[in-house]
Amino acid sequence: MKISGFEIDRFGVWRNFAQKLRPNGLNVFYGPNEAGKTTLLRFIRGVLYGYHPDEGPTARRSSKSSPKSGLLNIVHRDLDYEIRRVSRGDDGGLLTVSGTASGDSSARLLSELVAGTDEKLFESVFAVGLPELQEFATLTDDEVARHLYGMTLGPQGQLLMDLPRRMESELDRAWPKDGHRGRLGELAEKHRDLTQQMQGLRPQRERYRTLVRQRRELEQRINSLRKKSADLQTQLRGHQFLEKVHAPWSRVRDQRRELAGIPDLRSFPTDGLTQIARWEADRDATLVTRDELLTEIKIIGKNLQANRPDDSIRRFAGSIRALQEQRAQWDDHQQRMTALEAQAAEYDRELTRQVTDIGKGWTAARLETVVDTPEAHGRFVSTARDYQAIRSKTKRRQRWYRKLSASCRDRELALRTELQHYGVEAPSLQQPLNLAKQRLVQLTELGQLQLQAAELRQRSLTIDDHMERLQDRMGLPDWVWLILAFFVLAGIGLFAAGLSAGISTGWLVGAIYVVLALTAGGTTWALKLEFEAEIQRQVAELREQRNSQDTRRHEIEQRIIELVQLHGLWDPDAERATPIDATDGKWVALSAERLAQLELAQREYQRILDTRQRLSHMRGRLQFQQRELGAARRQWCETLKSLGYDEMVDVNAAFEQWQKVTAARELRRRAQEARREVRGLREDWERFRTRVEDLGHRMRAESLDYTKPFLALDQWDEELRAWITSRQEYRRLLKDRKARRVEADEVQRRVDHLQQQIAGLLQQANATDRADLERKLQLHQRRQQIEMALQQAMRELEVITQSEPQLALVEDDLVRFRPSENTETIKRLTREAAEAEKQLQEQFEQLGTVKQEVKSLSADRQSSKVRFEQSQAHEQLLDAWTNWYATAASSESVDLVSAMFEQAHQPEMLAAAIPFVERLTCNKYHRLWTQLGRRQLFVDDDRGSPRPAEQLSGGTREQLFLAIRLAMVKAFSSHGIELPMVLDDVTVNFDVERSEAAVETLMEFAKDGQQVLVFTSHIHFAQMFQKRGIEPIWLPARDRNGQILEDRLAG
Amino acid sequence: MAMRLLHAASVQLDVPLRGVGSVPRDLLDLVSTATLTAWDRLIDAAVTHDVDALLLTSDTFDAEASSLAADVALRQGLEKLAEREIAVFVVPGPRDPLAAWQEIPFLPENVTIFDSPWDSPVDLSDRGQTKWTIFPASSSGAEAPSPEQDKLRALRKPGSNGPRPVTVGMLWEAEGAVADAGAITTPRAAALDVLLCSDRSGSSARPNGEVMIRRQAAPQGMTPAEIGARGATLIEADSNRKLSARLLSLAPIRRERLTARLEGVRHRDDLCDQMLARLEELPALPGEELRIVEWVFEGSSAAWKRLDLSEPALDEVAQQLTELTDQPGKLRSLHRAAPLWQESVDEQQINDLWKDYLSLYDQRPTLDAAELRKLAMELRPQQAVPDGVWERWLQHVSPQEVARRARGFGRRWFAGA
Repeated sequence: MKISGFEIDRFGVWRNFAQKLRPNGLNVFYGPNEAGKTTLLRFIRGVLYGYHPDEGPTARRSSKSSPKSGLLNIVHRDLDYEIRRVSRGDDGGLLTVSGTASGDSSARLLSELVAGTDEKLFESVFAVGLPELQEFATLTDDEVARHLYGMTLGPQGQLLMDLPRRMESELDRAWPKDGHRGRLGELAEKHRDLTQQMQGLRPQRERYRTLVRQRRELEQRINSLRKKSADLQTQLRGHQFLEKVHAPWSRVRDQRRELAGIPDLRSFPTDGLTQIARWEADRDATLVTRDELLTEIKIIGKNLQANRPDDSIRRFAGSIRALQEQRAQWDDHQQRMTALEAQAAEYDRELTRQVTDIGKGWTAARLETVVDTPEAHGRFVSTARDYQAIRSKTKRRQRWYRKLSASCRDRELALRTELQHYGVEAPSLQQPLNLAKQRLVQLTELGQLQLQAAELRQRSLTIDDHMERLQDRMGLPDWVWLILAFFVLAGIGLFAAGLSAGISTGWLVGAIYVVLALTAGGTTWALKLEFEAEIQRQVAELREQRNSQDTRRHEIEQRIIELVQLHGLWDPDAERATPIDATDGKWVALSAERLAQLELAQREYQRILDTRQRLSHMRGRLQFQQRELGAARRQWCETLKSLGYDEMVDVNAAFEQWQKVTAARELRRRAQEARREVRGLREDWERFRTRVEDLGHRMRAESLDYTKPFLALDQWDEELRAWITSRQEYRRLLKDRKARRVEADEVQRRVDHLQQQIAGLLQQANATDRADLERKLQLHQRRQQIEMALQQAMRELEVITQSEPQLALVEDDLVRFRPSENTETIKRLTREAAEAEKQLQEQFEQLGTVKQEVKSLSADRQSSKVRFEQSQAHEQLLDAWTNWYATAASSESVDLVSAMFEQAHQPEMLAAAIPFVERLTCNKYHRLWTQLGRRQLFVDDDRGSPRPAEQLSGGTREQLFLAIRLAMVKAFSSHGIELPMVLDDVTVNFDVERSEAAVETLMEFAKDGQQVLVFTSHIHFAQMFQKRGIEPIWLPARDRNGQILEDRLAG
Repeated sequence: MAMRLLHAASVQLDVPLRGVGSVPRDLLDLVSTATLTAWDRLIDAAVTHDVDALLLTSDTFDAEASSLAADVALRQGLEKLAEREIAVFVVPGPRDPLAAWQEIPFLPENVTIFDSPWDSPVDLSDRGQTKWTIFPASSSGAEAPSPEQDKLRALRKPGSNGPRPVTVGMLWEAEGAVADAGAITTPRAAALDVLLCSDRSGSSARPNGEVMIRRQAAPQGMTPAEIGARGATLIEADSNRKLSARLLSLAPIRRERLTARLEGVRHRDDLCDQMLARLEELPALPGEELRIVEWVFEGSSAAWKRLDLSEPALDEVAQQLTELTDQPGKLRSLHRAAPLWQESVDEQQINDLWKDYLSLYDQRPTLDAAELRKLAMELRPQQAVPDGVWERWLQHVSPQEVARRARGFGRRWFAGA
């Protein structure tokens, strides 16, 4: 596209300004400041892309924008266009292109003219002013930068361009720059929380250790207290023993003292016989007692034999107690299992109901075959959508076809009815139409002939009348006669006057009057003759005309007759055969109307035929669509089948089934989970049961029902209790028997003793007989009494001593024994023992509490879980930190890879700009390059030193950016995007040398046909072009108010 | 007369397993108490096999963790052994130093904690006959002279009085000790029949040809690298004092690291099948309740590209495999894909950018903590303030690991190019 001129009706400071331009090459505009150059630039941009409401100094001064209007003359592909844009001031303007209607078509055409470029690109590359040129940012906008930097990078370059962003994104996600928390923050917080939890749990170990210490201390204290208590008990027993022993011991001591005072009369027992008799009686009684004791021992023995406890259960007591202790736990376990089973059963029932609800053929097993992955869901939904779309499309087409078909049928029916009205069959419409056309032609011709005949007849009558009038008059017209009369009279008068003048005045005057009179007379005569000949000629002509018209009329009438006869153009209403009178147009109108109707009918028929053809095409398409629908249906059904659902064409039903299946699967999953848990519980239960059963087998209790381990446990518990009871009973009996045996032995000893006593007494008494014995014994009766008493006391003492076998009799203690003191001591020791027992009880209670707490702490595994979670959080956090540092470290190497890549893959556009850079900077800079993905430009100077573009001087930077734009415009041009380049005072910062270079460069640039519009406010710059043969366009100067100074053109 | 010892090392009671990744809630208890379960099984094994003593070498627990569960389990286990009159010998390690053992109140009488590398030998006798002589051994040259030295030497002399006891050394691996079983040259070593140590203790060299060295791994695999059967070693001596050893599997969690080869695999489903086949080859271990398998994928760049395997894709495959193999209520399974940066790189089969990256990365100076600090302060000048959280964590970050990972990131950045 090139601009061949522009006309500004109103834009900014410009009013009714028009300017032709050279479509190819350079157009240089010179104008001083505020001449309106930049306004022209904005005008061109505005016409092409829409005005901006804030444009123009007027708009800036007032709140309301001024109207804008103008046009550009465009040459595009050798065609001329006119782009006009009119705006009220507050909008982009109404666009019209070369007379096309405003709106989309114009916009499309304009878009084609500007090759689809947007305003931003045009403003950044093609139509630039100094501000745009100075701002590097205009080259970093996405669209421009895409062209400048990204055209030739390829996928690897793109990857390298994307990588820093991706890496930064990863780094930022973990540790955001903006101070947000990020993943590292989240993990750190989680770690902190868990660490705090751990800190909270940490004292538990110390507590546990403290408790262990306390337990040990308590156990030691209890042992100590036990020992103390035992000592006190021992002391107490000692004192009680002394108390018991002291009385018999005193008696023994007294009796021994008394006995010591009596001579030993052992060999002379005084009461030998009595004693013997008594001993014998005692012996007999003792023997009876002994026999009774032996009998009791036997009975006890039998009882022992009968009640001997079965010790086999003893070694399992620990296991039974352990199992019994776990009973509550397993009871809960069983209840949980039962509850879960009930839940699973409930799920199963619900599942069965839902499966039944899904439809026929659905079973719980089938649910498993349903593919329920996200991909399957995606496939299901996408296939359903496709199928639904094709189905809707097909239905729409079917409706459309039916509608069109019905419409066609109705129209055909109406047409046939109408044609029947005309007596025509639709298929033979052409013939009646031709006939109607012919009839119309015939009638028209007949009418014309009849009219002609009538006209001719009328003309003949007219001629007759005319001839009649001519023949009646046969002379000149009255007015001629009046003229002639005037001339005669005038001639006479003049002749008279001449005669008079000849006489009175002179002959010459009279002669003149006479000549005039003769002339008038001659003229009159001549006219008379002429008129009479003309009338005769007219009459002859009229006659000839009448004759020819009669002939022609006759021919016409003949033709009419022929026509009527040939085509039967008889009046149907007439009683006899009368030709149709076609002159009044009635018959022609009727015929024309019929023809028109037939033509309409034919057009309608044609349209119907077209419609039928369309319907035929539609049927074809519909069949294709049906096939597609069939394929989609098959695909849908196959998808349903492959996913495990019922094949059904109703998508909604399928969705409903899908939802039901999903719900049922969920239910099934829950049921399976419940069952799985039940299985786990059951396995645990089974282990428990197996343990019970194993125990039972070990106990050889085979008859028990181990499916109910609690029953077995109860039974064993009962057995254990029974065993304990019987064991106690057994021990009691044993003890009893032992006591009785001891007693029996004692009795036996006593019998033996009595026997020995009897023998001893006799021997002692050295008696020969009983009488002798009686006598001798009487001597020692007293002594015997004392001795007996002593023995009794000794026995008593012995019994007491035997009752405390651990205690020994200490003579000194008995000698020192004071009953009152001893009683006090016993009271004190009893008190102390009770105190010790109480302390012991307290210690036991404390020990129980400590043990309970130890047990509670021992069972707590929460800390392990928290520790593990904290460790995981620590690992994740460390991993995230390591990743962060690794990403950061690798980013440096990625940068180096990018640098290497960018060395080898500089953008094509920058390479294309280098010749321009060299020329514009007078070979000061030779290389232009960019960092990959950074959108930052560098130039290498003639010493090869790289410098960032932003560090260059203002002028050089503008030359660099101008060079880039020239390269871009050239590149766009080579890609078919040809737009004029408009430069507004872009060289103001160029020195003279580089201004010259710029002029040369721009001329060279425009040589290939690129249109360049250069606006400058520097006369020397304009003159540089002028010197080179390019005449600038001198814009008028303006005063402060923007008014053109008419007497002065710029420059 | 049966002679049995049970040796366990690095029990690490209640020390969390590392590199497990995310764990489903229903497995959390199992995973978090794995070392405790292994310990319980160890105690049961000692009772079941009626061993003479349980020998624990180094790191039985982590003193710094102050774990209640570890304390409880240790005490209960030791008390249970005390009830059965099974002796326990302990050599402290770096994580359970002697002081930590001494802080434990009222350990049962059956527990003997060697408090130095030259602690006196302890005899284990049965019916008046000494079966075992157990003592600590150290690879450090310094060894206090002790009267037992001569006795020990005498024990090694063949043909001494009657059947001699088996001498068992427990390598001193506590902090500061050079834990190298192969470097033991002390006189005490001359008396050794068997030397017990943990699997991290130095080279495989033997102090002399006659000593059997048992390097024992932790009963529960603690890291992804600790794979296969784990447990404790049952050492038996026959009537001729000939020693034999066998591993008792105790670990409830089995860790494995398997390799899946991508060559010849056309589709991810095929890959999944191949991985399943690899799993089928794994023999079952007694007592294993959960398998945590880390998968390493090997293949050319083309294979990676063909299968379009990225980290999320591999995670999906692992997840799929988990779903296929996990059996709730029975043997549980968890599968993980090893991070891609761990994968080995065949530099012949990678693209140019990747090669350039590796080349340039290898040329960069070695990373150290200062370098990492600099990186953080350069990239996050606002956040990387001194004494921040980042700095505390920087102390935990290993520069070598960062360097290794950064090199491996070449795959992440350039594999798709």
